[in-house]
Amino acid sequence: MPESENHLDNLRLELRRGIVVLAVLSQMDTARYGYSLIQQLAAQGLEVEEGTLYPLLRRLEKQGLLESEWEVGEARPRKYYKISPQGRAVLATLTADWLETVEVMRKLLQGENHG
Amino acid sequence: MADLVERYVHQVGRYLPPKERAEIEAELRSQIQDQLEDRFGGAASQEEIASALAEFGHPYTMAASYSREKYLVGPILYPYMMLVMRYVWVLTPSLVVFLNLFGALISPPVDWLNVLIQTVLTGAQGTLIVSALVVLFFALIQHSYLKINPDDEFKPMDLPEVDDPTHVDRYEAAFGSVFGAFVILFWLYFLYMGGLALPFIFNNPENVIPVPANWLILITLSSAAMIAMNLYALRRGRWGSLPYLIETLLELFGAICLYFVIFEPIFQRVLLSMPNLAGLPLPELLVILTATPIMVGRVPKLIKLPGYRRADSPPASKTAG
Repeated sequence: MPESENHLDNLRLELRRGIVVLAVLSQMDTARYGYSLIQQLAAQGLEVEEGTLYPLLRRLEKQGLLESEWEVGEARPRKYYKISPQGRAVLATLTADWLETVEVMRKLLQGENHG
Repeated sequence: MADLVERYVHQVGRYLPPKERAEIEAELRSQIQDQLEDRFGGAASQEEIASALAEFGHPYTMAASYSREKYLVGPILYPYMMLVMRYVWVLTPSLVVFLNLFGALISPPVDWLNVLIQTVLTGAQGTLIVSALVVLFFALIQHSYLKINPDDEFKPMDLPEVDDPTHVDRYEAAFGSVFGAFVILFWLYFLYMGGLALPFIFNNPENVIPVPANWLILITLSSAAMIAMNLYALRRGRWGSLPYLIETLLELFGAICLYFVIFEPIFQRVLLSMPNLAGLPLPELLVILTATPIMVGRVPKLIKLPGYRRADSPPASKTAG
């Protein structure tokens, strides 16, 4: 792969890194397991790799933003995640920050150099 | 299906911390099986499973994404470890060469090829062992309960200026003081033994080379005075021209003391077995070799210090019009 494409991929990764956290938190009002969350996000246009999402869920749980529970009654044991009260507070703050950022970026990108 | 998935999960688990391994493996296993069932129904072929696992990525990469970056020695301690390491890489082989050469010179006849081989091997071995101990020391600090957080101590007004000759690197000064303390212990040991004694055995050493006690006392006091100057500068937070001059003179005096304490006594002992070396000014040359790097390293700073003033305010703006 040409070096320029590598750089672009890395930059895209950086751009998406914070977005994925917000996207995940926004979908965790209902208890979900990892794969169902991937499908849910993909259905709404956000493709997230397994190698990114599964560790992220665990990290958010360690930070107290998600709660988890193993369900053993189904065909196989599954770990379900759901947003915690602390997670809801963080989600509200991040959502406000994000909307503000979007507005700022809109002005920057539509400035004199970008038509 | 179970076999290939299990092999993948097991490989990921190898790179995980033991405390979390079982749970992450269980979670990962469940997630992989969910995906396989959704994509291929209940009967995925080995190739289909392999393609799905390829999307998960290398087991190491998957495991690494579950953990935060960890260091054996982190970026804050690393420069100081390398500072110590540079001293080790110079001093350890030098000491080994000195000890082997000295031992060979006072024990004729000698197989010089064997001495050379032994010197190289023990030099390499000694350097490796001491280097490993240095890494271990800093790794223990890194992973101890000591909080190494530069933000706690960062005060922008205290930032050293570029090429500031008054700047005192506190870790370098602390290391110099600790190293100086060890050197003093050596002088005190030689004073107790009445001369240079190798190896370091307190009772009945094999070989004591007489050394004038007054010079041993002087070099001990000189070393102690250098530590005191170092600590004074450390406490003050900067070098002044007078303290730096005093420390430089103490170092030069130390080099002169080395003539009487080490170079000349050893040379006299070597002459017993190699009288043909008589007349060679070897001890004098060694003093010059010791003093030269001291002066080369210190004279520029000695010249710069007296006229140096720290820039406490921004440059004056140009007058308009």
